Amino acid sequence: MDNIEPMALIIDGRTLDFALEDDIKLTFLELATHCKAVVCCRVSPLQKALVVKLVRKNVHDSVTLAIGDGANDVGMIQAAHVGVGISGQEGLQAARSADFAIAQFRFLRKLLLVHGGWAYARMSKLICYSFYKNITLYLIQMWFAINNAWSAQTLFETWSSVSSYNVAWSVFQPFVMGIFDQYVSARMLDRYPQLYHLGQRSVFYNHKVLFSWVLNSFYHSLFIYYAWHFVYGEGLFMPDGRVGDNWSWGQMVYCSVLATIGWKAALVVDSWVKFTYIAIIGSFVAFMVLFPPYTFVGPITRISPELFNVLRPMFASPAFWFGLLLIPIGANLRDFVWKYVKRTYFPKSYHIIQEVQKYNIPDYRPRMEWFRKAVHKVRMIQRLKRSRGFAFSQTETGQVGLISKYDTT
Amino acid sequence: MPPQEDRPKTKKPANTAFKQQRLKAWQPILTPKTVLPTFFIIGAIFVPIGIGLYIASDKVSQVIFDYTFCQKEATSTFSKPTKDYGPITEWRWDATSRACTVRFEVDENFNPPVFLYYRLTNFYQNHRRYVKSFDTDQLKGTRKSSDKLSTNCDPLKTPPEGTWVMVNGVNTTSLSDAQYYPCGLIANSMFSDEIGDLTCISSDAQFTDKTTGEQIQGCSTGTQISYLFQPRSIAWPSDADRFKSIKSEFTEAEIPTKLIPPPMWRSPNAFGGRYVNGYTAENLPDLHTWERFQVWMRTAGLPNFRKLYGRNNGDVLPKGIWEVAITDNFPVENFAGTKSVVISTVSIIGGKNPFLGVAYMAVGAICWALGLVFLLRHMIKPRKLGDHTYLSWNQPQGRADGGGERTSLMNR
Repeated sequence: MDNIEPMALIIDGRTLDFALEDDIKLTFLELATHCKAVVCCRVSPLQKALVVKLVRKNVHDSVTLAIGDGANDVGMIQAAHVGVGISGQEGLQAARSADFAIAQFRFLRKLLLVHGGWAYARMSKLICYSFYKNITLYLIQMWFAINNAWSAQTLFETWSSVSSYNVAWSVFQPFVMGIFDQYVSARMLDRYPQLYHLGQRSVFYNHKVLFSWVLNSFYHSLFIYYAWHFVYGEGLFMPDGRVGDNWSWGQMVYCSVLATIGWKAALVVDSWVKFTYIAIIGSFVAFMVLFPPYTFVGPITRISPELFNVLRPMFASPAFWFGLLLIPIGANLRDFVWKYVKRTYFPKSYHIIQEVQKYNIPDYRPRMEWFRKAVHKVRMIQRLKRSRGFAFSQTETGQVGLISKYDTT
Repeated sequence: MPPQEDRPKTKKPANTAFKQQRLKAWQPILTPKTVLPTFFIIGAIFVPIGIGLYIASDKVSQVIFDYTFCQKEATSTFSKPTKDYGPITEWRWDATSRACTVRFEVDENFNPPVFLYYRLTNFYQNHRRYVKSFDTDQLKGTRKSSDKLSTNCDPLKTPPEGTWVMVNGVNTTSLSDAQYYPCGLIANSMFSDEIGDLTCISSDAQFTDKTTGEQIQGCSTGTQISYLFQPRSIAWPSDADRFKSIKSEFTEAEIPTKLIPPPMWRSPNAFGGRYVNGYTAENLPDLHTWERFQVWMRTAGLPNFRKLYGRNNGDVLPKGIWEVAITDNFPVENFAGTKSVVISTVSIIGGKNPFLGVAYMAVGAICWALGLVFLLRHMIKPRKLGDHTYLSWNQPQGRADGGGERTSLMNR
């Protein structure tokens, strides 16, 4: 395909009427998809929508975008996967019916490259992390079931730990990933539009990626559970010789789960703004601070009677603090090494761009873009001057210039 | 009319850092310059901690012996056990007193505080129906009518028809509003073996006679030197709030017919046969001071567990051969479990458990090893940061981030 000179197809509204007839429209489509660009002029609003629908239905795995600024574009905007409306001179009709409204046509570039790129990276991260954090927690219950005769006894206390997990302690980390994370800065995304391919080729979110996150959940949950299994041993983990029960042990495991998903979030996030610190570090600290008072409130209100007196065996046992330091870091060690190796020895393009961004490494061919554009402009003007076959008596500025450009005689 | 400024309405979002997504951000990147020191620092912190914890655990003195099969395998005269049940030198079973007398070896001086535990295996105190099987109010000493007791105690909430108790020397089955006290599966299955004090059989240590104060060198079966374990300060200190006596809630006459001991407590072998005939005002247990009961009620997390039976805070347990008499009441063969006695000292991480120490050393060592490997690789063949030749569109095969040729985009 790259050997053939790029082609463009120009078709007007009347001919398009015939081209869109059922018996020939697929042939038309095939011809059109072989061209680099297709220009349909003087088309009616219905035809605009029909063209979009034709592509959408018959081109495999296509994602279509339609952009327009007038009421006649509404049909096309709604027919496409992504409709972009330009609000302004011709009114707000197009903007109202669109998925995205922008003020100027040139903003489309930023919409796609920057916001589209960010949204794709953020969503992928958020979805994968959300599955990961939940599967890790609940798989630990399953490993515990092996040791409690499959009786479905919960390792963790119900309200402050299991129920609050998705409401308080592990909800802000995905929030922050989905709202603030920038895997590459806006300027870089604009400068290197090739990064847009990451979304088009489903690099950040596909079956393999999700499966490997789930596999990681298995690994983390096994690591956390069995490490604490052996630290608990036969119940003797308190420094005063007394014996711990299942609740104090379970809450120790829970604290480690929060710490593990916290470290994982820290590894996964590319851009730390102040909300990221609050979410990742703050969520863990919040639990460690709010849990102690709850071990008094819970039993008194009879909501969590099992937490009665559980605090002292936990917090006064050095085994707990040593375990809390080691086990989450140990679990994430594989993640840390993997990420480092991938970036350093098997880097993808966006890894390189992230380094360019961070260390302000200049593009080794800075003027090349400018030069290329300048040459292109000069050649275009020369071509036009060649094709013009008559002279004008008026000056060459303003309307005359415009007319002469369009004249094809 | 007040003057109004004619400002054109604009939909343009505010030009703040938050709304324009240009908040101050830190973009950490895992480069060799940051990652390699991290590996070495983690190793440098974790390995010493691991060594410290391992040594602490190693310093713990512990002796364990399994007496499950004493009743079956020991004879009425002292003999060495046929199988390896721990450092038992000889044991003896007395059928009349149901006592298993075990002579075992203590291989080093145990420094105080010394703790006595019993160890059970294959006992699932962490089973869901077991863990919740008690009534909080009843344990706290609140009088509740038997129908108000928590259903969690089922099937050991109220005694069935025909359950008898002895009232003033007379057997009776007419019980009014009777409830098991304490109700539930946990209380019923309480460990009922009685482990006596240790008696010194042979040792070279020097002992001080507690009553006369004189020094005795060594011990033998004749010298009657004991090592005592107290059942106090063995439960969680705050558990005293969870367990209170219920005696004051009942009149003396009510106790025998309203409060019934759990079925397994009524065995003639359990608790010295105290509760065979039911409760009276004299033998009604005071849960507040019965620490061994409180220890049992704290359900263990795993099926092989130990529970604290007694402690000795001041005396050294010297090296030698010691004897202990255990009244064998608690049945374990019906769940294929075992029961053992554990005598142990403690460290800051609890009993003898090298796991944390080993784990710290292992993670630290792995970090060092990884750091070394990556350092070597980095010195031999480093990757330059931000090298544009790695960008996929600058590479010979061309396409950005891979992707194949497509001759037709259409559905096939």
